Amino acid sequence: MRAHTCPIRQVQGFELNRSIPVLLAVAFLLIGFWAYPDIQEIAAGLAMFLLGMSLLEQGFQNFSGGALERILERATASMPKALGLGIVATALMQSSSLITVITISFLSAGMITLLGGIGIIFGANIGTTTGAWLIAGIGLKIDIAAYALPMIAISGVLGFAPGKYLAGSGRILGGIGFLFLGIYFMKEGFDGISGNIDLARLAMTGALGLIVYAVVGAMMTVVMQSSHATLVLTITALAAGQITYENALALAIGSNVGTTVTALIGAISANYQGRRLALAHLLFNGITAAVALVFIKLLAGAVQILSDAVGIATDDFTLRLAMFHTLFNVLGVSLMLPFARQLVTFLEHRIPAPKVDISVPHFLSEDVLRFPETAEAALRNEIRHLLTNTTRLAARNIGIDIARLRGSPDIAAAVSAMPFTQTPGISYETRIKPLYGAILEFAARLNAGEMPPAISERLFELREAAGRLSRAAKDAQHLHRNTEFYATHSSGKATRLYDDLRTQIARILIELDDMAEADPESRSSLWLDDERVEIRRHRAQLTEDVEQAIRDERISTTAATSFLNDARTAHHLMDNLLEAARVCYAETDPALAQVEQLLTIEEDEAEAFGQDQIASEKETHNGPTQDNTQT
Amino acid sequence: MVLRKTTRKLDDYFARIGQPDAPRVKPTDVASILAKLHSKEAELLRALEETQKEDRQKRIRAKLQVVREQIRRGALLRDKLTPPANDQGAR
Repeated sequence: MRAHTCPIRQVQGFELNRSIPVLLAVAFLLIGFWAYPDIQEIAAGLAMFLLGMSLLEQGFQNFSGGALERILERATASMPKALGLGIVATALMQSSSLITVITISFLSAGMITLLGGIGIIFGANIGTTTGAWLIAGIGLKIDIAAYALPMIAISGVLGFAPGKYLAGSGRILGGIGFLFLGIYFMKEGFDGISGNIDLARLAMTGALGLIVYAVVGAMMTVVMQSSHATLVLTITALAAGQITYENALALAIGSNVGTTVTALIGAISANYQGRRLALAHLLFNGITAAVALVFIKLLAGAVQILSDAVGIATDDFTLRLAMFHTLFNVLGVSLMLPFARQLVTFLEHRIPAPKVDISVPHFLSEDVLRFPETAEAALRNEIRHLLTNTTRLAARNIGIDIARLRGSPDIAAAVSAMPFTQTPGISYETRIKPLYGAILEFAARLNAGEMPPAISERLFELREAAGRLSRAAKDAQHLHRNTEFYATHSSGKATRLYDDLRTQIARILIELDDMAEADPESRSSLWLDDERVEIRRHRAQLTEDVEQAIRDERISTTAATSFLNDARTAHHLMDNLLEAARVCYAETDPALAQVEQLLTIEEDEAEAFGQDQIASEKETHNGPTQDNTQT
Repeated sequence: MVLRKTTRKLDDYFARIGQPDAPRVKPTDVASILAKLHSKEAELLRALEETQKEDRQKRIRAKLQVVREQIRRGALLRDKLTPPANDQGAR
């Protein structure tokens, strides 16, 4: 397979190209360490943060293979559920940054939708306000670094544990530990900077003061990698009277904008979906901050009313600040929630999915390779793509235009009347071979042996389906010469027989197009059983017709032999297409798949059905008409 | 022959229940698939009413025959999975 045809290889090539800037970054770091030794801690902190993210992703992969994806799918099935998940998870973890980073990795892997991810981020913004209440209310600030070392130590032990779930737990624990440690080192590294911040020197009033303090709050959060740290500084400065209450509110607003930098760092290693979510986070927090700044007087008034109502003392500015933090985040979510779908549309437009070529795989990538169920879904989608390409190639080789035939009330007449049409640019080499090769490579790299047996079995079926499609494409190529000859040279019975064969293939291709366009929730692979019966009926009928034509000397023996060979190839082509389509459209839920298997018409039954239909036709010709449609 | 084969398939399935390769099917699962088959049947009946051409009618009737066989099998499976009403509260 050529390198340019496979996205996995493209990713590897891309990684090779990235080694140059990475080496340059290492060189800059070495020069930086030599010139400014203090930045070692900041750089090490950032490296630990990124290592933590990577470990988290690996850990969650260990839990994939069914259960985790289903839980996430259900938890993000609707906006209220996703919102609730974000609130609860962030309140428990006390880190909206961590929840954001985890959400980005789930989204990159295709485990959740962009809308679900946005719901979690919205929820995280509300969940994080519990931290301000903890800081201001009971003076408790969870020291995340204190948990980091035990977490890393326990994760090291769990790394030796048998079973992927315990090992996965270890990686998750280690990942969170390294994230915390990374934030701690970054904070330590910036100690000198934060130690020198004297907020009193910046005390300002009016709109300018609000904007300056919001910018300062954002910058503080960026350098300290924690909006909680910014809130601690703000509360201290407010308690000491260094800043006004309004300036403190602006600092809290700014911290919300600054915290989005974590998602932006997380998006560096994410795919386009992860980058969309990071942009959503930035937009959401930015717009919320802008609205809060504009309506700060109104918000401050609302805080006063609410604080009085719940009995917060008039001079307890720290708790009032916590109330403000909650109020403006809830307000932001309330404002943005109705526009969540529009936000998704904007993000999809702003960060488009990479351009895809119909000849190359659309769904197979390194990201999905690591999650069994996601990988299976990607493989199934890719085989549907291959199925579409194969039907187009088959149509081209027998000289028909499916789009024109679909609207026709009489397909047989339309095929006979249609000039032999050959869509340019469709060939086995461009539409089938690269896709089939990529599917085989992807399936080989999946290592089905380590997967749950049910998934492993389905992966095997999918790979077989891809093989069938490749063979069907070859069969279609084989049919090209004779179908074109008899379609363009009128040869009596032989031309009519070839037209009949082309009509039969055309019917199957139309049926497959209809299946592809049907609502996935209402279609069933069982619908294709009838076509299998029809192929068998057609084969038996055709043999009788040809034998009769030979006896009547309406076709030469040479032409008849040639036709019967082509008919066999055509029936193989149709069988392979239908079997591959059955696998593509089969139910993925094990119980529903079992029902389909129990209800399906088996091979020998299809043969018997076909024979019955021929017998029934003969009876109709020879005897009184019977209506079979009554139940 | 067809009925015998269907019964054998169902018996094989019930014998395999509990094994990893035989997921437990609930009556609601059968109902879900039956709904799809009934929608196909309704679509075919509509097409039959609208079609004047004899060949096309013949083809639709053949399709109906297959989908009705699948519905019949589904009903059989559903009946086997649904406990008789008088069993309820017997204990």
